[in-house]
Amino acid sequence: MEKLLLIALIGTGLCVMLRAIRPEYAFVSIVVTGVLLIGSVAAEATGLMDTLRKLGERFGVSEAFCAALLKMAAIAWLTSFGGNLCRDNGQSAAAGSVELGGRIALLGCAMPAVVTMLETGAAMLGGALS
Amino acid sequence: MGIEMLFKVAGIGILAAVVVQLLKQNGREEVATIAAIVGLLIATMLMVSMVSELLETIRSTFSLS
Repeated sequence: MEKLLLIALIGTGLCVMLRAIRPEYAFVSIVVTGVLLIGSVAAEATGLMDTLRKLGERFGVSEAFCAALLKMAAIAWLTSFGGNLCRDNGQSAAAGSVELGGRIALLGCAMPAVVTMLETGAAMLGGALS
Repeated sequence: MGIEMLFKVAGIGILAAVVVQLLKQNGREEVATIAAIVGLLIATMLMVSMVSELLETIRSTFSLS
């Protein structure tokens, strides 16, 4: 946790300093800061994700659904990271496109679950009607 | 991968700024431009390799294929 704070503070300071000297390096330094931050969070989250997966297995949640859920979490994380980076550097249009792409990818991941749910509902209704 | 990458990028930036200033004062404008571009290219390559490393980390965290 304190490592994150340290990286964020030093990265922000270097970015402010570099923006005064050469503005193009400020972008690189803020991207590197973001990558370092999110990388250390991801490294810490590995144990948590494994625990969640084991919990899902124990309570009989389908492996495919667990994998889809984790994939969606990863997509949401990455797209919010990329969108925020673009917005920080003044490119709101690129940020909007990245987030739209992320939403579409999330929808694509969720579709198999939606289809399964609809099929289950249809089977239940069919059983009740016949 | 750690905080030293951040200092590496900042060091490249400051070094490029100094080199470009020196070259400009010696009247070599086009060499200064090339130096600025090369410095930015080096920093960008560092950044891209770090981003690919991040994608690998996230792939292993969420155990995606």
